[in-house]
Amino acid sequence: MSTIVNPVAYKAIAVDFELWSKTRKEIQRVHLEHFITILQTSRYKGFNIKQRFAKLGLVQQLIFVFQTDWYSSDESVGWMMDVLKVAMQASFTKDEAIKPLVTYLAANLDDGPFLTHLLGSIPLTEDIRRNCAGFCDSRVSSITSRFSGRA
Amino acid sequence: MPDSAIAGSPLSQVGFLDGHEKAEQVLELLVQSLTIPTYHAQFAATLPLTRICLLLLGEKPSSFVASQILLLIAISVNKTITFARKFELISGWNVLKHVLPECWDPSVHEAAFDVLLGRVHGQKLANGNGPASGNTFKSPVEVTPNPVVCPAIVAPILSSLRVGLNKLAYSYQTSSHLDGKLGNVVLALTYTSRSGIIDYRVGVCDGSAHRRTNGFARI
Repeated sequence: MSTIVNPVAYKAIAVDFELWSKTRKEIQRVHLEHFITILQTSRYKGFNIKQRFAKLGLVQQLIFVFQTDWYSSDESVGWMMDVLKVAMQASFTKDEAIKPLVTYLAANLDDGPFLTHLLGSIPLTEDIRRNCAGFCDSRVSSITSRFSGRA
Repeated sequence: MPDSAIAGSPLSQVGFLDGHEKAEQVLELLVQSLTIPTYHAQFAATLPLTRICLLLLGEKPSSFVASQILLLIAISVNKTITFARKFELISGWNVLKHVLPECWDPSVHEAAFDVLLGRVHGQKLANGNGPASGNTFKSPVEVTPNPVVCPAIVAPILSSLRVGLNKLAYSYQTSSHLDGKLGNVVLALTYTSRSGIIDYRVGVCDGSAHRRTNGFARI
């Protein structure tokens, strides 16, 4: 039965990616694949998505992991991408997936001097993550105003 | 001992060196998901898609990012009949005109022409809703096909062509035995909206009144 019986224990252990990143590659792969089983393969996936994963913030957790060096090999990054795809499509809502993804992309796709200075060697704290989100809101207007004069 | 092994540390060092590559992979995942109509509708209802395209494009995108954003634009143009107009209202096409030439490569080339012709990955979409497609209420078989779905992308394409040809002319000029007698590349083009065909001639002005035409091609 591929469902979560103890949500509290699950959140404390199964979603602690820092812990699982210290294990062997084979264990990492099985750990990451279990998310795909629960969210996509299991016949209880609907229950899992709506009841067990509703407030888990799995997409946000995965995005945070991408910004660390816990999973550094190409293999493990590939597995995480598969999990992200399934997690994103399982719960494609504003707060669960859409806004976290867009904020992450806006902060990490641009190699401008502001972001290089901000993220180059500074430990990633909650304040900096919040600043990145606020920074992104002003980017669109700066991009369009920069090029609008060259019509 | 690595930082991550320090017990109880709430901070983590940012792996920025490959962060850009990871972000590109995440962008590809997101765009792939947005090819599914349900997710696209959900995304468009949550955030202003036109502005998000510009936000993710940035000022100096890599070729991969540019091709993914163009793919997203192609999907949106085909799904929403008003997308092209809304994108124009925020000067989106103007931004593309200045950004695309610097990152143009074969993948961007393919993506840009997919936008023009209402395709995704080279395949014509079955339910094209583009303003020029004429396929909103009739099957494709009954309507004379108009290949151009989004003419607004023509300006960025031509801007990229102009920049590329000027670079070629400059490199030819610096290596040519004519030693600077070679002038600018001349680009004359004709766009016929009815047939949707672009004809262009490329010539090199050698400083005299005579103008040589090097090629004539049809897109």
